[in-house]
Amino acid sequence: MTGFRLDKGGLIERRQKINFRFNGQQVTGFKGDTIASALMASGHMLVGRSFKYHRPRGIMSAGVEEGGALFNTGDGAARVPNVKGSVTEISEGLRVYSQNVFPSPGFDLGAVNGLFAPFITAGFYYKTFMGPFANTKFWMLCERFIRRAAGLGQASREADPSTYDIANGFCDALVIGSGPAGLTAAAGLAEKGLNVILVEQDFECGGNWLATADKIDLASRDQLLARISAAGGQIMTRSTAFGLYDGHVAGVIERCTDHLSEPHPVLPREIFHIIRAGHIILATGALERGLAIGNNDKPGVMLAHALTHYAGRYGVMPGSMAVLATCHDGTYEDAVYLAKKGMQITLLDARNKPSHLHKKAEAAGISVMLGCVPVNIVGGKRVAGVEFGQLGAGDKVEDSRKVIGCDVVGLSGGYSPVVNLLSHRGVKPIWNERLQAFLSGKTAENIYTIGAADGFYDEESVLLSAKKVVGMLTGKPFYGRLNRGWPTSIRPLFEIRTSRKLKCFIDPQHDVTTDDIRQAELEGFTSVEHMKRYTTLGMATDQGRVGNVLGIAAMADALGQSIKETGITTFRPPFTPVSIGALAGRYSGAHWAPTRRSPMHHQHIAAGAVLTDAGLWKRPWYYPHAAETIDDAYIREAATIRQTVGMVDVSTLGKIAVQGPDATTFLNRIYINGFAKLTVGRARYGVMLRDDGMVLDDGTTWRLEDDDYFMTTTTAQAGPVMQFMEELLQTRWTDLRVHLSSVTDLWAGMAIAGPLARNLLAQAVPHLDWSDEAFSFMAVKQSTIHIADTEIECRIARISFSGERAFELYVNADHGAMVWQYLTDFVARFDGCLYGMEALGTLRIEKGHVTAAELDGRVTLEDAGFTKMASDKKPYIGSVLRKRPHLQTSDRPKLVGIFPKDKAHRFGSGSVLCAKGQVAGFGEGWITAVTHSPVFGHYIGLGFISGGADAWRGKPVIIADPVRGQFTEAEIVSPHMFDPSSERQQG
Amino acid sequence: MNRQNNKMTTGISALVLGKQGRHEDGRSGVIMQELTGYQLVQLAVFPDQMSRFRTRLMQLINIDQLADISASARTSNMLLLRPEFTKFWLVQKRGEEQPLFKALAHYFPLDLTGSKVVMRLSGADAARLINRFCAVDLSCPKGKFLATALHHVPVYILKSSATAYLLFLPRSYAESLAELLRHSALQFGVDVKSVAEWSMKK
Repeated sequence: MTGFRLDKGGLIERRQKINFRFNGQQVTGFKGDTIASALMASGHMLVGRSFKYHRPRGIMSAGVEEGGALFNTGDGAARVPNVKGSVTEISEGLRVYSQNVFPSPGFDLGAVNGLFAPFITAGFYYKTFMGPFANTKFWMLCERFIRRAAGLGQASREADPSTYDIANGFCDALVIGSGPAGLTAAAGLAEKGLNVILVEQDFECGGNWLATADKIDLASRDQLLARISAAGGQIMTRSTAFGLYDGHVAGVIERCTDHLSEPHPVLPREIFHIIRAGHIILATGALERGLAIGNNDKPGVMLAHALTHYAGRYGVMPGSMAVLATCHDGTYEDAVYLAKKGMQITLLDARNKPSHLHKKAEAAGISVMLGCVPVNIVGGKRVAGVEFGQLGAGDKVEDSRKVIGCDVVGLSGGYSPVVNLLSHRGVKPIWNERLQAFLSGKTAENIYTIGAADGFYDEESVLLSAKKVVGMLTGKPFYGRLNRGWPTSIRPLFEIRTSRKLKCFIDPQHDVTTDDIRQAELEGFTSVEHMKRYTTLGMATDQGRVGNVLGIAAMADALGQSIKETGITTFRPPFTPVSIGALAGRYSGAHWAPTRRSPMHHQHIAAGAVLTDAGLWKRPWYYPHAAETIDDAYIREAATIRQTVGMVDVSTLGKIAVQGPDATTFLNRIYINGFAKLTVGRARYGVMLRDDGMVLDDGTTWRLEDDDYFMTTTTAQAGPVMQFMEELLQTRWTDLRVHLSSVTDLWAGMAIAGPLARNLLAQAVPHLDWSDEAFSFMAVKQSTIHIADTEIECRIARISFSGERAFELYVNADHGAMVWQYLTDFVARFDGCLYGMEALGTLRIEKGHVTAAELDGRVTLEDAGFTKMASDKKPYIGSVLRKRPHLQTSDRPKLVGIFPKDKAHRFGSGSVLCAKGQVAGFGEGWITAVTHSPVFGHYIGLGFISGGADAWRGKPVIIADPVRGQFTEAEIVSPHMFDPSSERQQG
Repeated sequence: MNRQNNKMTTGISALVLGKQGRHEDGRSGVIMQELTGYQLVQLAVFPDQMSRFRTRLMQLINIDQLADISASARTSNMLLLRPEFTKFWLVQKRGEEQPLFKALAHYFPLDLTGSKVVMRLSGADAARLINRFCAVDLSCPKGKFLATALHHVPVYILKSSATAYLLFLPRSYAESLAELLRHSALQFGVDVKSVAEWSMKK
């Protein structure tokens, strides 16, 4: 007999059929079915194979603890691995595939692994592939085969096509779990005026009330849901609280579209909610645990209460003849319920003392066998019967090998309250001897556990525990007596051992048996944390839900100590698997990082610029003419600037307004050179150091008024410089009256460079005097540009990064595009060009000007050739520590220029510089930047080499690029390769 | 001065105009609109100047008290925002009287207009949309001016009414952030309106 659908009953909508495919075969279920319930109803009891031994696996539970019915769903990019069939809704057209099978669950070639089972127990990889050999070569050889065979589901290798969102939520009280306790608490708190969010991982609220689908229970549920909604509470179904974090923050994953038959065009597949709550109420329930008996992984072996769940909620009977084995009262209720549904039940109760429900069970026609326990499951690819025995003196099992025939087995060794979430907060669960379960320890945080999660199993106590928390949080205490556990005590029962060698599984997902635990103990892994890692018990998707207590009990038994003494492993987030995409939210693809655009961005696009990333900025890289390569374009652009004129967008430079009566003092302290005497209308190039004496950044600062400066930084260091200056003012120099404001986004910047720059600007801005006398090098003017009827304020400085006569012009970003377009027309009239980052690099390399490529945080003033700039008349940030002896040695790498010996040779940045004949290791230095120089007609480079240019004069060096096998002889020259006297920029 | 500060709806725009996304019940959960035609001037005040600054401001714009940090104050034609302890932003319709800033010259007036893009988000789902990106509790009272981050980018949000918010986005990031907002808003149904002039009524 296989599972079958009852004619009536259940919370499914029988009028709404849903077709899906299981391993290619069509299966029909109803709305409200899970994959597991639909498969069971259609007779699919063998649904997959196990991870290691490829043993047949069926459906084991009705909840998130499922370790058998794990599937791949979807195809191609939409494939999702390790989907738990017990909680996943079916949808029209859904494709479901068994895991660990080839070619099918019924006939799986991987089952050959079972023959080697004695050799592939816990620690197999460590011992086999690491131990006998001196190195890891053997592992390297075997790894690809092992990796192919091992693992659970298969993730898609294609990019995930779904979208995800991250949402922030706030509430007074977050209630996790919508069983009787959670609903009662949420309704009570919402009606007292608290802002409540209720999250439920299932697609239906009700928790354990769903199991029997009792009409009175469902009416209670509906009433509570209505009260929550009426009071303004927010109810989130399909939402799993997977982790608790500092400050009452919960991570919740809401599944929005997986239950839909078609991908939704605009809804995110999942939303990762970060909920900040004033109070968190954990109504997370309790999970049933099985018993470690022989072959307890055969399809048809389930948790006892799961049988009720399938029969009640889904109207599916997992079989017609069941053996239920238990050690507590809870299973009696299941037995009675199932008997009423027509199932023939034999109930093995390990206890000798009859339960208070004994007579009720017998009245329902159930055969109750006291003092009896199951020993072994009989059958091939599914259950055929149970071998049982009598518990004798000293808990010894008299293994009679008697068999009770059945087609389904329900095991129950008790319940484990879900303590995982509070464990995330570092609260260690405590073993409760009377309940035979771990309960959450105390916490000082506003987190409360109610209902079955706190060990209350009878409904009266469950509801009372919720009302007590409501009373406590609303200042109106609620009194009443709470009873944990069941009226008749549970009997401790975990593993049932006989003299027979049987495989007793405690973690079916990872094929971990009680023998693995004992082996771990024998090999010295006596801590539960070590045992977990050595055996992989409770790892991966399970996270200790199924086998944790059974494993700890086996370890305690092996060590001859109590479970309390043995302790429990630490539960960590996530409680259930979380899609990586949900953690990324919308921050993927083009939005992996935010993009910054200059005010002239669209003008660059229109001009055909190829853009490149400069930090978060998109900057013009080069402006190719038809059929030009990047090399053609940048060499043309650089040559044009040396001959006529060019214009480049410099809006990305960091810009800071430094204002206040102490602004001059402040600047004088942070720059290595003097700023005290900088007059209004002048700019100065400055270098800043970090506290440790290393170069932080360089740039220019313009004095606009006595107490008003305009500072520019490099694009790369804009943020760090602003932060550092704020830190100085707020923590060290609190007496200085200075205001800092970032104005990077306020100003659109453009540099006009080349021998004809002055001529161009004289035509474009004719009312200004552009003569050398009126506009000398480093002079600053604040003026206006007139374009048609618009008068645009601007600030201009004669500054050069290119080594040519050049001007930097800034206008309010609102006018950037207009002014850029206006000046572009003049550039064309002078046979000039727009130029991008690549040509800018060429010009500055020829000139020996440094950027972030050289100022990489390891460079001193001496290394970069700035020593003469440093003032010895004043202290400044870094002035003491830059003089540490080891920073002053003559053999430190210093900035140099590099020419290839053979001028036809090309070389690359990142290469190392070695003495000729001594190409080895890191060499004597490295290359930071390389370009083809139009003025020299060959490739040139900047870099650092020990001792600098003077130490290498006349000595050949080798540019070594061992990765590419390229070696080029070169000579070291001054970094100021072009126009070393700077006549072109200053003349 | 004839400024052209339509910052996103020119060229390749992040803001595709019109109704988009999920409008199953014909309702737009979110209305997005860029505002322009405003002037935003920053005033910086040292702590010991605060009392004098308050008095001066009361004389000039008849505002009865300074905005607290993370708060705003308003007159019929001007909005006073306080993004930092020592910094104030005065926002008004462009073309309003300028002498005010001359009278406040002690406080380093800095015209930041070009540096921000002001985006108005309104509608029943506007707060949900903002909370898709920003970790701020928008159940706060109207008039709150919140410093937060949107995709790690510092932004300011003014709650201008129960269901409307003004986002002050750094100009260089604005297109990128607006694109993110619009994509996410599709799930609520979004109506992207063409650029509107600043008005104190908004």
